[in-house]
Amino acid sequence: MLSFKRIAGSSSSSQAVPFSVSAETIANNEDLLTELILLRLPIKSLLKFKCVSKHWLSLISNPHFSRRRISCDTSPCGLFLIERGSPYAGYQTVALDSNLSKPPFKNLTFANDPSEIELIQSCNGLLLFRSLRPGRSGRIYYVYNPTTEQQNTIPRPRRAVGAALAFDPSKSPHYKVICVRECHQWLQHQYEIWMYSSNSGPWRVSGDPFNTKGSDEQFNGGVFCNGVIYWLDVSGTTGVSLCFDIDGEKLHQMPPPPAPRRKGRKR
Amino acid sequence: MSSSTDSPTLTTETTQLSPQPDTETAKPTKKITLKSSDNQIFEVEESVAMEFATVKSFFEDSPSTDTVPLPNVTAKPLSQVIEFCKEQIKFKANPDEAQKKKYNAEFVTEKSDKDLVDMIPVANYLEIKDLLDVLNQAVADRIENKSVEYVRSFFGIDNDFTAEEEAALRREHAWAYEGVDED
Repeated sequence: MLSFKRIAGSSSSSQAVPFSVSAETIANNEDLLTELILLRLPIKSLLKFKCVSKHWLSLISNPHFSRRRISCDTSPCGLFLIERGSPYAGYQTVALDSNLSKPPFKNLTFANDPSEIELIQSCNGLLLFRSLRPGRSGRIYYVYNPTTEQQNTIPRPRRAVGAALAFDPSKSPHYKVICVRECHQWLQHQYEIWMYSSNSGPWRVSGDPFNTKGSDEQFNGGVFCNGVIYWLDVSGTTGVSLCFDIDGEKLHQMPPPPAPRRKGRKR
Repeated sequence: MSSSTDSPTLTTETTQLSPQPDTETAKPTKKITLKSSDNQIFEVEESVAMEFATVKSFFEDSPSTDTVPLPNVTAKPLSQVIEFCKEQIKFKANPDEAQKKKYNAEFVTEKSDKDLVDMIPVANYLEIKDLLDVLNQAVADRIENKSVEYVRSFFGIDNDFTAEEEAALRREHAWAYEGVDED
């Protein structure tokens, strides 16, 4: 097969065998197809077209293709809202884009966890869940991709008080889970940060133990943004918010946000 | 072009620096001959031919040539590509993003599926990036909400999955198969 990239016209090529361009030619030309058409399709269409042929399946499933697709367009097409109060949390979807027809799920149950689960964080297309009630050796944490319905059970972190997910598909196809564990040193109640990587595996400790005025609760509901996890002071009493730089593995204290002014009172 | 520029008493045009595509009464501009794989001859303005990066580099390599053979390109898609590039030259001279968008949208809307997919390798081969973008988006828009069967016939792809394999894939992402447009 002739390559489309070849430049025409070394004088001998004017006698080349006539080359009829056709739909079939495009379908057989891997580069053209992936780079040019598939990259412009929404994720839902890509999932659907995995069963066009084995060739398309391999193109769409290729991690290199996923990375290129991510850099093309990352505008969200909908939001999930959690309905509290049901035995298993239900999810309502709010479409932000007229093309969103049906959400990938309405409620979630993981077959291998008999207890209930709760969503603790959403991060660039991945969700972090944990079992609602701690078992004998702590809670179980799951990372779930609602689009592909793939699920990973994270090795159980012991004495974890909270966990957060760090995933930036524009930088790496791998995610990290950061867990804050309690530890006791010199009779002091302290915390340690442990990291788990979907790429390189098991939990490892990062940095030294630390103190904080906040409570354990602070380490749930972390927010990941631009390579940093932020734990806001949820109680609003201590005013100590922390942030953890994933690549540099550095923990910092953030200045408290300005206190809201109360009307009619002078401070 | 507006009808006023086609008036027979056209003399001011010659003072313009860049040649206008349809000023045949004015100073003749250099024409370049393109020859398709099915031996059809196309005479195009040099400015149009220079939109084709492949043709441009061909001329840089052998400036004395007057006919450029395009062994990978048949006449029909080539004529459509030339039509597109002629319009783009006008937009280059008089930038009007809204009009250009409108023209590009109309250009693909009126083409058949076959015309679109036949033009893609031509636009790629001649390295006309704007056209390639327009065509790929148009094809993606046409297949986005279609069924798998429609896409197979659109591209002439044979299904090489067994019935079990295909059923398993469909189960895996059942939600993605809902809300498909009629073929």
